[in-house]
Amino acid sequence: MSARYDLYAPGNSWLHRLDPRVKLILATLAALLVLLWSSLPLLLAALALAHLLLMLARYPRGLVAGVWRALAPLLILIVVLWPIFDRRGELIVLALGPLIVTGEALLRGLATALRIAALSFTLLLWLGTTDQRSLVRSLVRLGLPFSLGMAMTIGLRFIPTFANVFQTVSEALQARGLDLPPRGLRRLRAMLPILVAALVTALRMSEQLGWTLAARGVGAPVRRTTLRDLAMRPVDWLALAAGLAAGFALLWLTLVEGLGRALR
Amino acid sequence: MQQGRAAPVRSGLSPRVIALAGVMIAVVFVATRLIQVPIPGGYVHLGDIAIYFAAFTFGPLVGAIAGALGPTLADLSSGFANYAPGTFVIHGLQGLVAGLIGWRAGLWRMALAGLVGGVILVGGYFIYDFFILRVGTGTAIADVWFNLGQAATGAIIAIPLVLAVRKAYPPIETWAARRAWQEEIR
Amino acid sequence: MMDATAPREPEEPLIRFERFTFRYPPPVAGAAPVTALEEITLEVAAGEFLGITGSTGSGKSALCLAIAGLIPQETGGIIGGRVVVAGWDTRYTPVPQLATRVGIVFQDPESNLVGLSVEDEVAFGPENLGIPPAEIGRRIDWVLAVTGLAHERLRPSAHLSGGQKQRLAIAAVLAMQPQILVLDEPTAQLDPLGKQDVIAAIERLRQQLGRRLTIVLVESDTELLSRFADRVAVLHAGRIALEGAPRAVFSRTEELAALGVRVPPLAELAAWLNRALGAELSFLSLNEAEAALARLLEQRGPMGPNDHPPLRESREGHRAGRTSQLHRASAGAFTAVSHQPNSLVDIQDVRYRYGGVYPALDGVSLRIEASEFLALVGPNGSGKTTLAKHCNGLLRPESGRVLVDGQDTRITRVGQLARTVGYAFQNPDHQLFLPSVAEELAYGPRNLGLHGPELRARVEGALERFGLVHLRDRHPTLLGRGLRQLVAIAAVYAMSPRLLILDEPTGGLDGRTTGRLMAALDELVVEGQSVLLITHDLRLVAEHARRVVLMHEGRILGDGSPREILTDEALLEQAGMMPPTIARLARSLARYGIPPALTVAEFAEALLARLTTSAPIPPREGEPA
Repeated sequence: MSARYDLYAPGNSWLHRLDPRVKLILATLAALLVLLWSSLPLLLAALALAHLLLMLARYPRGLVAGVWRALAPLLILIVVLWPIFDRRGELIVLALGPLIVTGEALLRGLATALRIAALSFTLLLWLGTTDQRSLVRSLVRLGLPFSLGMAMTIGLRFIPTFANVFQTVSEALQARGLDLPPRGLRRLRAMLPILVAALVTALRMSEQLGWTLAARGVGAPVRRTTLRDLAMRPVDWLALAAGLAAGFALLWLTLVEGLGRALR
Repeated sequence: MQQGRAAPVRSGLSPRVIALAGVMIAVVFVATRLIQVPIPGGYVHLGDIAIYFAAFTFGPLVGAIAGALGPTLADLSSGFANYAPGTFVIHGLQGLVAGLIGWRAGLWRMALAGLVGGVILVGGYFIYDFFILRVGTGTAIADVWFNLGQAATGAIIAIPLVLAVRKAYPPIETWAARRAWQEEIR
Repeated sequence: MMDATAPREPEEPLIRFERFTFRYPPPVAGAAPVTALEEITLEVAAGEFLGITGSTGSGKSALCLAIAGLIPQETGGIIGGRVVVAGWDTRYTPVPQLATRVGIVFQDPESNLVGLSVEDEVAFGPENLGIPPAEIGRRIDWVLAVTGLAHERLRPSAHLSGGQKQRLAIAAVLAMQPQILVLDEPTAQLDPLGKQDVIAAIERLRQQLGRRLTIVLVESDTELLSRFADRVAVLHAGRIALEGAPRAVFSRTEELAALGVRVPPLAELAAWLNRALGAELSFLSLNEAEAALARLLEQRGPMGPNDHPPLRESREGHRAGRTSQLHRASAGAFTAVSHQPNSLVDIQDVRYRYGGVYPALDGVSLRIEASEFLALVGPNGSGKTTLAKHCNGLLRPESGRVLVDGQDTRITRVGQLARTVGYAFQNPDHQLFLPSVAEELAYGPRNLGLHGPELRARVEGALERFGLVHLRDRHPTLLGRGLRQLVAIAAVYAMSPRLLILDEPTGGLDGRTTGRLMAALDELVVEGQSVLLITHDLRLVAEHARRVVLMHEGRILGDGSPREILTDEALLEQAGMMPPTIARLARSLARYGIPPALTVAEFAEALLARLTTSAPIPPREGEPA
């Protein structure tokens, strides 16, 4: 009944209260750094820092575990597949005919997996503590056209609605004898009637929704106001300045001094 | 005969298109996140089918919006935030191009759009995997395999879907068009 | 914006339709435009409460869209004449500008809301109009108070109930401070409690704003209109067929019925009595009816000890029905004849939780036999739909078991059970996907393996039974809501299930279509099929069902004849429900010797018998049909 469609966890920590634009900018900068790094200890530290911050923001452990579970297949794939294509390094851990696995390749695979994980969790700091409405509002304030922001809001609002429509249509047609094979292209083809009915239903809704928008004054030739606009508090500015300073310093070190570019 | 609209110059999209784009974002999201079908060697989701549907039926604009935002929100909400920037560009481009080629088109142009969209999808993720995320050759190739499945099923199912919806609900053909009204001649 | 700023005469009506005609653009290229309104001339004064009703497809919704300027500006199409709202010609005044005078709320709660939270939703309109934030804040306080949502201010709108969503839609529109509020069947998709909430909100609005707000309410529930409206207009085929004060309009019961409108039960009763007594009774509310009839009965003088009319059921039996789930009194005659080794559906102590967490069924046992007309009633969330979905295997019990014609649903595929149990869902759009009505009807039987002449016969049979023959080649998705509903039901019927389940089938139907549907269901039952009807409409239950199962919080609270369940005020109250209007009226007149009654016919007979001396009351045959 109550499926989760986002990773946001309500709360009132300093991370929750931080202006969403600041969070977005700093998370992007941090993500960029993590992307550039290959250093195992540095990535490990970044991952640990992200988890520490999440813990301080009282972000639920269940959701953290959920993200790990979602990422696990990809991470395992990376660690397993990496050594097959990378034969650098002296220390041979495993040699099975043409398959040679070196110690260094193993570590590189691990570092890569950590980079992906660190990237996800860095962005989780922003996503996990920003509700959908602040998310859209911050994007609009950062330059997303208002009509696209509105489309996004409607999209977010209609996710549970359309999920329900799809589920009900699927039941209704099964009750009329639609046989859904368990897997494969046959199942996909059998789903066609469900998709047709669900899409037509969604379109009918969109028509009325468009009327609702027009009748609520969308497109009025006046300057739009905002009830609760985002406002940068001094502490937001401070966080932004400190974050940017630290971020750019690290970026400079990374690009010019080669910080974190090597494995160790 | 009167001129249809008297509204002043509107900024941005019309309410009808905003609503349509919003609903299609939700449709693509649900198709990506919540409708997954096991196939030999893994599973596919229905996200690409939904993007092609939006693009073929409503054109490049709605195709690009739904394509860019639907799957990106799906990535952001499932822990795959690392893929979100790539997804935004790749699927947005896929929706845009598929709409440019296959909007209100016949079978063959839709098939061509599916092919080009597939190239964007597979190539785009390979580039993102290999050069930006640097996940390694093996994983990037594995991802090609997964995306080939997506691209193929997407096109194979989306084309009959579009044809079936056009047959079942004819108004869809002119859905995104501007609505003009006329005075009756009395 | 030509005459947007034209000054308005003080006496001028707030809304004026001048020979307004509207035709929708053709749905299929090359087809003719679809006429929705034809030469409508109508004026609404400032402060008036205008009620609009009419059969489905009569143009009610188009009228609403035209007031808001959505017709023609957002729909396109062909128009003639014009509509002037607050001095503005709706053809040339942009919709967002009209929105400062007209607020509109639609039927479907989902598409009335565009924001993520309650507060966002309400702020959205004023924000678009450029209202300063401090003023928006003040408006939000007021509109949330008047719609009873003050405590929900920060909740996500997705978490609200249907009734709350509709009240939020009203609040969002009010925040733009319109002079006119247009409500297009705002309660049609709500359960009775949600409906009550919305009505209460409208009442509060009326009290607080009085004549400062003009309201146009479209409703197929005429009982509601008769309570509120200063004036009622009945539409038919795009024209105004009847217009006047509610009392005058609703006294013309025969004309209303001919126009396909559901006649309020009290108006029907008044007409019935007037015919029989040559009186000039007229009542719109229960209080009025009670007072008028009490006067009538008192004129006959006090009741003598032998005057007491024979009750049809002893009080003892009545009581027993409530506690021990007394089984089968009314349909007993049928089940006894066609008794089979297996019940059609045998539900044994079923428990079910959604997602393994949220309890929905808490130990339910129920047997459904052949030739039953069973109504499943109860508030939303009581488990009705969950129980019904157990009957065809869409849901499988966590504990206990369900046998459909002897097959355990846990090990039988839904497709197999579909041969025995048909399930028509509430929203027809959830089922329709084929390009013609005939194909839609053939889909189910074909899935069961039918083909050739046999398949054609099934399709023809279904088309005829539901009066759809002339629509055979039409697109189901392009029919009006009422007809779509019939097609969806016919498509399930065509599979000729032995049990036909209908979930809230009459929500979007007018009086005539409802009548057609119910007549078809009555025939099915006579022919030996069973019907399980999930509904909130107790009047329908009283008139058609032979057995009523009342659910509350995942349990069966009562199971018996309509008389046992629907007149048991205490029992219904446990489930937060009320007896149907006529039953309440009968009860309030019990002191005059009026027996419990469920239908207008039954009540009128009892009353007439009571009035025309102490002649014995003629015996009635069977249950009311």
